[in-house]
Amino acid sequence: MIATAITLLLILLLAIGLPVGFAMAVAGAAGLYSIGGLGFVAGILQTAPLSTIRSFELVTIPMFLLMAEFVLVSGIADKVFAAASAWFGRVRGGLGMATALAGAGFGAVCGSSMASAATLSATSLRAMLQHRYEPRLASGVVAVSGTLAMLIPPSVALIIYGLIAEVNIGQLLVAGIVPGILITLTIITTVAVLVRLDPSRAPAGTSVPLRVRIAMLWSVLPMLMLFLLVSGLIYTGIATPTETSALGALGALAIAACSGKLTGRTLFLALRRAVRTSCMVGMILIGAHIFSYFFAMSQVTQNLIAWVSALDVPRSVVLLAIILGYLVLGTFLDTIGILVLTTPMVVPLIVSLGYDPIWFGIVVIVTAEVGLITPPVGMTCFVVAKYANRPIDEVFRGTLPHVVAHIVAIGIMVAIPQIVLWLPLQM
Amino acid sequence: MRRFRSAILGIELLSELVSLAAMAAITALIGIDVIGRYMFNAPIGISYSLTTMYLMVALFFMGFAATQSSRNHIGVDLFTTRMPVRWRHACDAICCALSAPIFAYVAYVFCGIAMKSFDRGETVVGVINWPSWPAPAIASYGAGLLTLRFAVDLVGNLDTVITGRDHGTLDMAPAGSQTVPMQERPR
Repeated sequence: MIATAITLLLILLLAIGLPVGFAMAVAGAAGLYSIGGLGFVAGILQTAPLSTIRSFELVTIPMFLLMAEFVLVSGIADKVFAAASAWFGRVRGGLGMATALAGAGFGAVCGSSMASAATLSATSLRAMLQHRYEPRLASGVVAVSGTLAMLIPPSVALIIYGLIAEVNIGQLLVAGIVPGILITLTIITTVAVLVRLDPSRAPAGTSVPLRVRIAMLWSVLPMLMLFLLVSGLIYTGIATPTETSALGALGALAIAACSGKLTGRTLFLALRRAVRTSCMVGMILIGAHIFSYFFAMSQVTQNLIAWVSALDVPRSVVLLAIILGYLVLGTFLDTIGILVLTTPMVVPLIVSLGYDPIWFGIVVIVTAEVGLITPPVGMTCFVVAKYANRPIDEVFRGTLPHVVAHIVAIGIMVAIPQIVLWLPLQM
Repeated sequence: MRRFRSAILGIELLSELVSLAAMAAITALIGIDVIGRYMFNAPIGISYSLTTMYLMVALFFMGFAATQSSRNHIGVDLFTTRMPVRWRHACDAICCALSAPIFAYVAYVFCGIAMKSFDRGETVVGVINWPSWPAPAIASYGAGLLTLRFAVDLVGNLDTVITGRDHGTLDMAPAGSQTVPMQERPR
């Protein structure tokens, strides 16, 4: 009863615009007060804020955010798209496929979907429209390619999931690589099918000489090296994810410095943006910490597990219901919000059903990706619409085929968990 | 009130600069530590304790208020964007009024912890015996500044609800400080 009332309070607070972190802190404190009085609340508030922030694993978030900011300063994303379009541009729909590859490449050095979508909007969307691509197709593929950053390491969303679910962050990041490739291929295939069905959507481009194409590959070498540094160090276990994130930030700083675009002002702005995003995430984690104490005290999770165990249904039905729930949540909640609100309750349930939490984390992230491209709160769609000055409904209609394709990809990952688990199990 | 608001903004900016410095220090410290360990077999040794004891606390707590004043704490604005302006300010006033007491208490309690720790000369034993009081002191300062930010926004919002004058409490940060929409919310 108390848990239901507090959950409704949380929803109300979110609805009136209270930021996720504060809403969880307020609702969690109210819940703790209702269970144990003021002493209970005071006890948690004396420990939760500092113990959350002092986690050494949490260092990965500001460091990977800083790395993404330095990569943005370097302007290397433009080069990634230029190289990809040189290789794929002559194929019908090739610029759309190049956008997916650029999204994957940029996602490999940047953990933010919003930054990725904005960057792709500024480069690939403009190029596609200039080549007379159908605006709906072009804006749709840009919005969906932006979401790849959330899956391919270093992904801030995966780190947040790992911190809350207490899953090995190194394994979790590595687990994102193969599904990241799968989703990239899904986007490319969707573009190919759309163009095959209606060739007028995307004209064929001109061929670029092989010599030029190879030369363009050199320009993306720094980004490739940065990705190999980050993924390689984590995969081999030479350095911890925290140490790797700091090295990644320093590597990205070096790339930005070599690009000649690093000035005092761009350095300051990059640090400032990274700090503000880190603080946003940090506040959400503090709020989630307080709220999860309430969950633990009210035994919501145990009751839920007991209730589900008593149901006479196969575990796959429960899993399907959970995934459908995530798809619905994704239509109106931000990814980080979904993760902090649901992970403390759902992951113990998933583990009790015998599923792997690392595999589940990847499935949740891909499901949340769908939320980023569906109305009414498809965040990457809004970013694309704003930056490319396109109508939002056009972007949403453009992402619709990708939503269907993503759901098929989720089905494949659910049916064959080895796609996700094979690589981390080699560590 | 305008002077007070400007003063708070100035303090937030200075605190954010400390936050920026902490982030730069963490990057350099851990980076140099790892390079030193694997390439020269000479790690710094204090990077873990220095980072978790002080730098992370400074990075986050010194930046919370500036993040709030620039409206970078992410939320769901699906319903509020459809509301009339006065209703939006009324909702924001409620948000400020609910959040302020939590962080006022956090500031109060950590102030007490820091003072007690300072009086007793408490340290955390390690390679270096780090004094314990700076971390709760920083947390107390950051939570206190955030409480002041809520108070300023609460007064501004209430004034807008009553008089209709807009104090910009719901505005995002100026464009120059947000060139990449990493935290941007659709409006």
